[in-house]
Amino acid sequence: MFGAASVWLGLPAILLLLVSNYLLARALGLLVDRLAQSQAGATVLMAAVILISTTPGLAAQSLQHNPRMFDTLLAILRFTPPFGAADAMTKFGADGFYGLLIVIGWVLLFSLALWALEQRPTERRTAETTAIHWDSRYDRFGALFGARNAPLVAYWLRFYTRNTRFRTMYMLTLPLAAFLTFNFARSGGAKAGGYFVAALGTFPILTYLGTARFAVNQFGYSGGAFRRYFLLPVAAGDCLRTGSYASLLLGAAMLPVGLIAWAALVPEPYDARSLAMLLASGLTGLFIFHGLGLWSSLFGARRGNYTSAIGNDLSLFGNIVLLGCVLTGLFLPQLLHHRAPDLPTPANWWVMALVALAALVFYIFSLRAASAVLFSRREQLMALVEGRA
Amino acid sequence: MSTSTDAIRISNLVKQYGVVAAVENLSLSVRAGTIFGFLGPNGSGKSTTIGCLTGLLDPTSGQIEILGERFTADNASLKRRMGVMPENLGLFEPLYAHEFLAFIARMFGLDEATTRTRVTELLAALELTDTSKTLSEYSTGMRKRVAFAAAVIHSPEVLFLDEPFESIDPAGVALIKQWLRRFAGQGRTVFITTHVLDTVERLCQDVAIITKPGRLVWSGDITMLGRDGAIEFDGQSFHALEALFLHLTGERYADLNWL
Repeated sequence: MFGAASVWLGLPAILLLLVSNYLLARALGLLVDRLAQSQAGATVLMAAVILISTTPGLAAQSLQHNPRMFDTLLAILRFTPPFGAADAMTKFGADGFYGLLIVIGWVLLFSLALWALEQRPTERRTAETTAIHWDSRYDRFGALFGARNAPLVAYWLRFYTRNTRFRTMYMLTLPLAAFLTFNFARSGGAKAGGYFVAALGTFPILTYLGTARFAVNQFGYSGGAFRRYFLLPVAAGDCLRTGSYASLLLGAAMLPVGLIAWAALVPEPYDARSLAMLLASGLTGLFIFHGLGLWSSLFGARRGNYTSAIGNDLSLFGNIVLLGCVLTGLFLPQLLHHRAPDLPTPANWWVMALVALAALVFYIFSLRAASAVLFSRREQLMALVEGRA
Repeated sequence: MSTSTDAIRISNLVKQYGVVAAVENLSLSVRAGTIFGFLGPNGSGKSTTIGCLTGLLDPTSGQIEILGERFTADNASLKRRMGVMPENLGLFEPLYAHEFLAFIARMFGLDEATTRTRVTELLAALELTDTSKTLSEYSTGMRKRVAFAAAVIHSPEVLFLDEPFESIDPAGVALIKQWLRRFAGQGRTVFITTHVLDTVERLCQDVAIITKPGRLVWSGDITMLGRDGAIEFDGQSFHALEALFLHLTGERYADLNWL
C-alpha cells in the first residue's frame, strides 16, 4: 500500500495506460496512412485537420459562456483511459477496480481497431480508363517552359501530382496557412494590422508547404530512375532546373487562391497595397525556398520512399531548410512588427517588392550554380539515392 | 585490334572508387554492325564499364570513342545516337508506360507524330497494352520490356543493353533477339552484358570476357561455335562458350555430399 490507494491497481493501470496510448497512436497512424491512399482520403484528412484546429477555440468559448458544460464534459471524460487510470491509482476497492476496467476496455477496443485496420487491404487508386490519352494537361503546362524543357517539366508535374502525400499536403496548405494566420494574429492581440503582419509570414509558407518534401530532396525519391537523367541527351542541370520549375509552378498556383481568400475573408479594410505586399511576400518565400531547395537536393539528398504517406524522411539539411523557412516566415514579420512597427505595413509594399526581386536573383543564381554542381556530384548522388551509400 | 569501322573503342580504361579498382586498364574495340557480348562473373566490372561508356560514370583515366567521336559524359549530341538499357532499368515509376516512352522519344528529338506511332507500335509488339497500371505496378518482366523499348525508340546507332534477357519470358526474348539481329544487320551495333551464355553464343558475333577487377582476359570472334567449330585457347579447344568462360574466370567445384 502506497499513499491513498493500492499499488496492485495503480501499477497495472499506468502500464495499461501506456499500452492504450501506444495502440491509439498506431491505429491513428494506420488510419491516416489508409486515408491518404484512398480516393477521398485527402478531403477527409483536410476536414479532420480543420475540425481539430477549430474545435479547441470553439469549445473554450462555449465553456466560458456556459460553465455548467464542464460537469457534462467531466462525466464523459471519466470513461477515458487517463481518467480510468487516475481512478485506479487514487481510489480503493470497487471504484479503483472500475477505473482499471475502463483502461482494459479501451486497450481491447484499440487492439480491435488496430487489428481491423491491418486486415483491411489498402485501397489503391486505379486509372479509370485503359485508353491512351495523348493530349495531357501536364504536357500543356510543360510547354509553357519551352520546347527544350517541356517533356521534363511535364514529367516532374506528374511526379508531384501523382503522389498521395503531396496531394494531401497541397490541399491542406490553405487551411493550415489560414489557421496559422488566425492564431498568430490572435496571439498578438488581434490589433489593427495583426492579421496582415501574420499573413506576411504565412503567405510564403503557402507557396511551398505542399511541394516542400520533394523540393528539398528532388532526387531522393527517384531511386534507380536517377541515372536516367544522365542518359538523356540534355545537360544534367536541365533535370534539376525543370524539377524546380514544376515545384515553383505548383507553389505559385497557391498565391492567387491565398489572395482571394485574404480579400474575401479577413476582417481588415480592403487595401490594394496590402495585396501587392502579400503577393511580394509570397514570391519571396517561393524563390528563397526553392533556391535553398536546389542546394539541399544536392548536398542534403537522402533516399526516401515515394509512396510513404507519413513520417519525416528528409536529411538534416532538408529539415533545416524546411523548418528554417517556416519559422523565419512565421516569426520574422512579428519581430519586425515589434522592432519597427511602421515597416511591415501596406505603405511599404514596394520594399517587399524589392525583397522579392532580390529573392528571384538568388533563385536564378542557385539554378545556374547548382546545375553545374549536379554533374560533378552525380556519382555520389547515384550511390546515395540508389541506396548504395 | 581496332579498325576504322569500329563503333566503340576503349583505350586503357581505368575506373577506381577510392583505392579500389573496378576496371583496370581495359582496352577493346567493337566492330560496327555486330552484336557484341561483354561477359564476366558478378562484380567483375561489366556494369561499371557500361556506366563509363554511357556517361553515368566518369572514368578515372583512359579514353572512349563511340562512332568515331571521343565520348565524354556531357556529350549530348553523341548520346542522341545511343540507346541504353541500364542495369536497374531507370524507369520513372509514377508514369504509365506510354507516358514514359513518349517522354524518352521527345527527349531524343522525335516529332510528335513519330512519337505517337512508335510508342503505340512498341507497346503492341511488346504486349504492354495494360495501360491502367503505372510502371511501379508492372512485373519485373514488363518493366524490362519497357526499358528495352525506351532504349530503341529513337533508332539509335549504338545500343547498350545491361542484362536485357533476364526475367523476360521466352517469347519476349525471342522477339528481342529477332529485333537485335535486324538492328545489327542494318549496320548498327549492340553491346550486351548478360549471364545467359547460350543466348550470347547464338546471338553475338564477338565476345569479350573480363574478370575482377575489370581486366580483359579474352576477346574474339565466336561465330565458329555456331558452325560446330571450336575456340582454341591456352592449348585447348573449347566447343562451347560456357567452357571457355569457366576456364577463364575460374571453374568452381564444391562437393556438398548432402546435395
